Amino acid sequence: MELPFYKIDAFTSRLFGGNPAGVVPLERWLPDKTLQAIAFENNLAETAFFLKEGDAYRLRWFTPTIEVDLCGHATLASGYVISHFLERNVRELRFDTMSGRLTVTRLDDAFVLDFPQRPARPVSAPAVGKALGSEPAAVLAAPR
Amino acid sequence: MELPLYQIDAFTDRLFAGNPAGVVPLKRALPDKTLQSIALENNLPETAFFLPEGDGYRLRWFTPVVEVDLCGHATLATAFVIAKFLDPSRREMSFETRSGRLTVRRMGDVFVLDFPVRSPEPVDAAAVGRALGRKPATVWRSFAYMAVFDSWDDVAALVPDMPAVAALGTLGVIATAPGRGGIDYVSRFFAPGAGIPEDPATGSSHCALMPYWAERLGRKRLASRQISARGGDFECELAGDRVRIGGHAVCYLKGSVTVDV
Repeated sequence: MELPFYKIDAFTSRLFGGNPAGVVPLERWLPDKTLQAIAFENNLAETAFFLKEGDAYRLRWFTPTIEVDLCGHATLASGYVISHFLERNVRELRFDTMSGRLTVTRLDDAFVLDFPQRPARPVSAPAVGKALGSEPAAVLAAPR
Repeated sequence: MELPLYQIDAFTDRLFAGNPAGVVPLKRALPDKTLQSIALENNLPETAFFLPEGDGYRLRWFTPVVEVDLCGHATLATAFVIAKFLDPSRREMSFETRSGRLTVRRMGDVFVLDFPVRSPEPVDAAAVGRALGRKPATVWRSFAYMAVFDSWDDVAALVPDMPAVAALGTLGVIATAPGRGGIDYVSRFFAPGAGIPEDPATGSSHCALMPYWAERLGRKRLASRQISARGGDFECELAGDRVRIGGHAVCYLKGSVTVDV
């Protein structure tokens, strides 16, 4: 079986800049094991897989080793692929994900992600400064 | 400018196994900086670039950060791309490289690399066993250390101390042991100093492994498996001062990249 594959540098306007993402449009869901094997083979930070569902897309993200519940750059990359190659010049895209509904709006060459807030609160975690090798002014944590 | 790009799993007949290589056929030479950028973007152990030259090809290999002198699996992957997609009638291919002329012969689905022998010498190097976390029966040195263990399971169970392996001062460490069930010997290859904690399938390791195992087992043709997570399979032959390293390959990705030149 042959699947299309795009590799997109997101959050940059220069090739070889930004964050690379693999993007694989699907016509039906494949076994999780296959999606994970493809992401492992790609060896990119994330590979995104999506499938059209009604007026939205079901979107999933895989690192080389696990599925993750939220990824910005691979969502932007998916929006880019759809808008440039699949539904040319579509302006607004809806993605259903493990983090709920996410939208991407295309404004000329820019893509704007509409993501949920995850407000962070101050915490006491001296291990963070130790791990970074420099003491920060404050440490905050956001719920997952 | 659009360039073809293939991603090939070498030294395996199963997709997602073996050692992945990028392969980019060129029509003319491109700036080194462009080749290096493509290799970094691919983020594979090696990306091979080649150009027709005379009756053969000029071949170069890049890791994500540097150009390297010799690479077995990306050479096999290049021969596979030529045979499968560009010139199916070709049985023998020669490549001019930084390591001189290399030839690859196609025998059915198997591609055979003809590489120089790099015989290992016995050494006294307790640091190798310490870095690997287990004491081998003997230690040898070639372009890398070669640690010989008594059993397959010993090699499979190794969890090396990677900073300690990197500090040994060779390209890396080959761990090897006798095989079983039609496999004559097994190996793993650790090269954290070169940015590769564990290489999945290493053609060139057999330049050191074959002279040792051919003498120990009294045979010149041996079957070998690299017991990394992805796994790799080799059919090798010792022929004088050359080692013939045979393996299969599988195409994962066939497409194109667009670059500004």
